[in-house]
Formats: sequence, structure tokens, C-alpha cells
Amino acid sequence: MLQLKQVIKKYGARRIQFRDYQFEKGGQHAIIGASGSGKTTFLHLVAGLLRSDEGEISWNEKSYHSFSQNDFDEFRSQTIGIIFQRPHLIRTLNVLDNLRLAAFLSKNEVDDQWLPDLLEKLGLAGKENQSVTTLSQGESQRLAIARAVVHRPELLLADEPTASLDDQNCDRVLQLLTQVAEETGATLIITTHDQRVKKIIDNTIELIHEPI
Amino acid sequence: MNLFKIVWSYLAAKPLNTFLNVFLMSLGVSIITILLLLSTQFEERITKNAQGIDLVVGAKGSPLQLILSSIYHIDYPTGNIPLEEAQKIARNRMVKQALPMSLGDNYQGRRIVGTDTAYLSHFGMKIQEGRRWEKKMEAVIGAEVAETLGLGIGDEFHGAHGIGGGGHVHDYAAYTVVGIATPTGLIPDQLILTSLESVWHVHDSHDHDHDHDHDEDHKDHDHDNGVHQHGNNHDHDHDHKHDDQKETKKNKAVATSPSDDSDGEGMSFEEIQRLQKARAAAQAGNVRADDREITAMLITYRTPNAVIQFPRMVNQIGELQSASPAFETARLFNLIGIGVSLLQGLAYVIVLVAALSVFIALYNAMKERKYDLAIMRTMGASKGKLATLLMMEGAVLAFLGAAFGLILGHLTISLVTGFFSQTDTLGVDGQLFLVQELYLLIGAVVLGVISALIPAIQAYKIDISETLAEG
Ligand SMILES: Nc1ncnc2c1ncn2[C@@H]1O[C@H](COP(=O)(O)OP(=O)(O)OP(=O)(O)O)[C@@H](O)[C@H]1O
Ligand SMILES: [Mg+2]
Repeated sequence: MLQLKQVIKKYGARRIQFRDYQFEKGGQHAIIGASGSGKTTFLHLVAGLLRSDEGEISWNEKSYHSFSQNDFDEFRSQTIGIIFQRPHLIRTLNVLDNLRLAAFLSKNEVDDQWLPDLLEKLGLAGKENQSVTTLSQGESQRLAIARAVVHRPELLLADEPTASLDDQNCDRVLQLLTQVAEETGATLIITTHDQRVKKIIDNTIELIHEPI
Repeated sequence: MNLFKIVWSYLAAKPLNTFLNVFLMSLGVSIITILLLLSTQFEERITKNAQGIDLVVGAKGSPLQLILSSIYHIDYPTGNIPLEEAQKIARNRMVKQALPMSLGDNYQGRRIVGTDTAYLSHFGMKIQEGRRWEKKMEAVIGAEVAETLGLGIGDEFHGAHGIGGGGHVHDYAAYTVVGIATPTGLIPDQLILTSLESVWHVHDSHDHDHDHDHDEDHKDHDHDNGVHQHGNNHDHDHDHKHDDQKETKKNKAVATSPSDDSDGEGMSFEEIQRLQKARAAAQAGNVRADDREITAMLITYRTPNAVIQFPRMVNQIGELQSASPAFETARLFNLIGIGVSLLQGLAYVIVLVAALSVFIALYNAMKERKYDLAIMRTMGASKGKLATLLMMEGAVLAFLGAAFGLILGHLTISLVTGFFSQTDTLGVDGQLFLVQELYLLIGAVVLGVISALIPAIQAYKIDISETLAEG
């Protein structure tokens, strides 16, 4: 269970105050907010990439304040999967090796069939040895999703996964995300300004921030 | 998947960059390797070959040339000296051993050295096949000569005038190989050794057959850089007593050849001295002094004190000069040392440039690499792992460069020595590996890691959130 209490992040004079949230295990949530409202900041806080200036975030009752740098590395490698606004694939590695890299860095044992299964599920079968630079934008996005769930994270975070996609691809990606999250038992949190998300994900919350 | 595979993927993605870095490093390392191999082996061989030789006595000229020609057999002799003078010197109480040498001919580029059998013992040459020379025109060949020229026991060959191959062939007097020496790893392996008498004989006959007119001044006569042995023409029928005495020691087969009745064959220098004295006595009344010549004499002192007095004494004798191998080679090393240091300096500069180039490549790569690094962090890679990744990249580049450099250095030496093997008397082995090369490899890798240090620190400090928010 992920919990946020009176979390505030300051960027110099800019102060972003987040609502209190509670995300139950296995739930699927969309957090809607306008550009610049702090969606990315929110996900980075949850992923431990950023530290909050005030308030408290906790995972399974364990406060982030108690996490050391190493704990966060460990936490990310075991518990969290993130999909960023851009796919950020490793361009020097091929499709399969991008997944293998994720498995390697997570230090989790991955059974042989899981990676091909994932590629299959995400419509990338047959592209294992292709350079990622040759993938289309949609394919890249799907590979980024696959990479985020290689280690079967408990918490799957996606930052505007549909931003640059047309309606058809938008639906497909959202369906894949929810499906993969379901299959791996992950809690899914999507941030977006894309109203199309509401069609697929019932549980939508407005990212309320009150600049003070 | 492992760290090395990631590193490799980055190197493979920029083949030109990688090539340049590896090339620069290998260039520097190969030069250092070549210098290392050359100088250590050269110095070792130079010292080893001069072991036990305290002084070389020869004709006036460049002392270095005298040393080079008589010990290392790489330069032309300075001229000849009268045997009589040499003998006087050899008899000095400060002298423990005096090895006479008469040069001037070659067979297929291998120098024919007239000397006495003590020469073999001095250089630790045993006979692996056959025997030592006993009679005139018998030769013992060095192991390397036997191998490369394919000469065997009983083979005959004609010497040619000059010391470097080619030259007029003395086709009337053939040498017979009677022995093959064991390899010593020293220069005499590349020599053809025979008695002084053989060399004199060849040139005496030469003088007769070709009817050259020689004036008494021999020094005018080294027109072709060889050294002619001008002797007077001995009548060969004095001192039969000695010959008979020798004859009994020889095996029958050899002894039956009646034509071989010359003087002094197969004798040690001491014996020759005795012989010469006897001859002088026999020829009492004969006004013509014995004017046999030798090229040089390798001297071993009896006492260390000789170092001070003896050379001075030799140099006072009109036509003679003495040269100390230790001193002359030290002088040579100093000379070479300057060149070696310069080249070495250049090589180290190249290695540093290579390290700089690795640094620049990695530093520049950081701009495009930062997203990858940040994303790896989000996948659980620690800061340390990213820094390791960068340092590994520097290390791999340096290692590849150094490894290729070492191989290149050895190949170059092997190729060059292979190419010059005909004339190379100071052979350097390209297959020899030195401990210093391991240090060189380790040093290069350390340097590679150091050049990756700043990019590694950048990787360590990368702000994941900020980097990924930008994208
Ligand atoms: N490193 C930073 N330094 C200063 N200000 C920042 C920094 N990162 C974010 N901000 C500011 O914080 C606010 C929230 O940024 P954030 O990137 O979280 O918004 P967002 O909702 O993800 O926007 P978008 O939809 O455009 O991606 C913005 O006003 C942004 O300018
Ligand atoms: Mg954003």
C-alpha cells in the first residue's frame, strides 16, 4: 500500500503541494493534471527519485524518510517499475537485451520464457534481435512497458504513456498496461493530462495542487 | 547480460571512436614494448658477449670499431697488427689469456675467424658433432651457421674475401667442416672458426695465385674493407720435428693426407708462440723478421690492477691500440640511451594522448549517455555500478590498446629480426616476454580507469529525476 500525507515539493520559490492519497495493492489509478501541475514530480517522489520537502510518503507502512540511498536503489530494483514520458531505451542494445538489462539490474531471477512471453504480449514478437533504433514510436513505447515489468514490480508507474499516441494506440497501450498490471499483480498508477484515459481506467483522481 | 556486455555495446556502437582510442594506445605501447625488448636484450647480449674479455688489442683506429668488429662482429676491423707485437703483449705477466683473431673472409655472410681452440672454450662452445680443428683448412662452425646454412660435417666451402658477404672467392683453398659447436646464445654461434694458419694459408695462396704486388705498407691495402692477411711466404719444410710430434696425436684418417703439413695447425696460441720462437731460432741468421699478422687479440687480465697499467702500455706500442669492451659499450649505451630516452618520451606522450582521447570520448559520450545512466538507476543500478561501468569502459579501451600494442611490438621485432637474420649478429628475440610488459599492461589499464574517472564521477552524481524530467 502506497500512502502520501501532506507531501510538499519545493523548486526554489515554486511549491507543489499534493493531496493525500492512499493506493491499495492491486488497484489501478489515473492521476489527471494539466501540464506543469506536477505529475512527473509526483511519480518521481513515489519512485524515490526525488525526496519530498515536507510530508510523508510510505510504502507498506514504511516511511520513505527511513530509506537510505541504497535502500531506494534496492526498492526500485525490487518493487517499482517506471514508464517515462519518453521510452528512453538503451540504443546500443537490441530489443531483447534491453529487457535482459532490466532483469540484470533488478538482480531478480527471470525464467527463460518470461521475456519472450512479454514481447509476445506487447506485440513485439520476432523483433528480439532488432536494434531499438529501428522501432516505431508505438513499438518503443510498448518495449518500455515490457522493460518496466520484467522484474514483476508491485508498483507500476507510468508518466503520460499516451501523450504522443493516436486514439488507437492510446487504447492499446492503456489496455496493455492494465492487463500487464493485472497479470503481475502490480498496483498501477498512471499520471496524465489525457482525458482519453478515463475511458479505460475508472479510478481517476485530479492531481490537486495548491500553490501557496 | 553483464556489465561487460553493456560496456561492449557502447564501444561497438562507436567503432571509429573506439578504433582511434585503441589505436593511439597501441601505438604508444608498441613503441615502449619495442624499446623495452630491444634495450634489455641488446644490453644483455652486449654484456654477455664481452664477458671475460677485459681488453681488445688491435690496430689503431676507432676503439669502438675495434670492439664492434672483434667481439660483436658487426663492424669492419680497424686493420691488422703484427703477430710479433701481439705475442709480446700476450706474454705479459698481467695477461691471463690472449685469444688471437684473424678476420678478413666470410662464407655467405658468416665471418671466418682464425683463432685458436681456446676461443671455443672461452665462449663455452662445446663440440656437439665432430671435433675441433686440428689441421689447416679445418673449420668448426657455430650452431646457428650449421642450422641456417645447412652445413654439416665433411662439407666443404670456399671463403670469400671481405667480411660481409660477397667479395672475391678464394676458390683454390676449401675449408672442411670438421665440427659443429653447441649453441651458446652468443655471437660465436654465427661464426666459422678455424685456425690462424688456415686464414694465413688462404691469403698466402691468394697472394701467390693472383700475383698481387704488395708493398711493405699493409695499411694502404684495405681497399675493400676486408682485411688482407699479408704474410711472408714461409718455407714449409722447417721444424718437421714438431709436425711429426703433432701427427702422432691425430687420428689416422686425417694424418694420411700428405699435403697438409703446414705449421701450427690446430694449436693453441701458446703453442703458436712456442712454434714461432722455435722458428725464429731455426731461422737464425735470416734477416727477414716474421711478419705474420693478426687482426685483434682478446685479452683477459690476470689481476684487476692491470686495468690501469696495461692499456697504457699497449697504446705506447706504435701500431697498436687497446680498447676496453666495458668502457666502449658503456659509451655506446650512453649514445643509444639518448635516442632511446627520446623515443620513450615520445611513446609516453602518445600513451598520455591516448588516455586523454579516452577521457574526451567518454566525457562527450556522457551528454547522450546520461539518459541511459539515469534509466539504469531507475531500474535499480546503484551509483557505484554506473561509475564502475564508465571506468570499465576506460579500462577495456586501454586494455585492448595495450594488448594490441604488446602484440604489435613483438610482431615488429620478430618481423624485423626475421628480415635481417642474415646479417643480424645481435639478434633480439621477439618471442621473449618480459615482466615489465605485464606492468605496462597494468599501467595502461590503470591509466584507462583514471581517464574515465571524471566521467565516472559524473555518472555517480547524475540527478536521475532532473535528467529524466528533461527528456
Ligand atoms: N528541477 C526543477 N527545477 C525547477 N522547477 C521545476 C523542476 N522540475 C519541475 N519544476 C517545475 O515544477 C512544476 C511541475 O513540473 P512537472 O514536470 O512535475 O509537471 P508535469 O505535470 O509533469 O508537466 P508536463 O505535463 O508538462 O510533463 C513545473 O512548473 C516545473 O516548471
Ligand atoms: Mg511531466
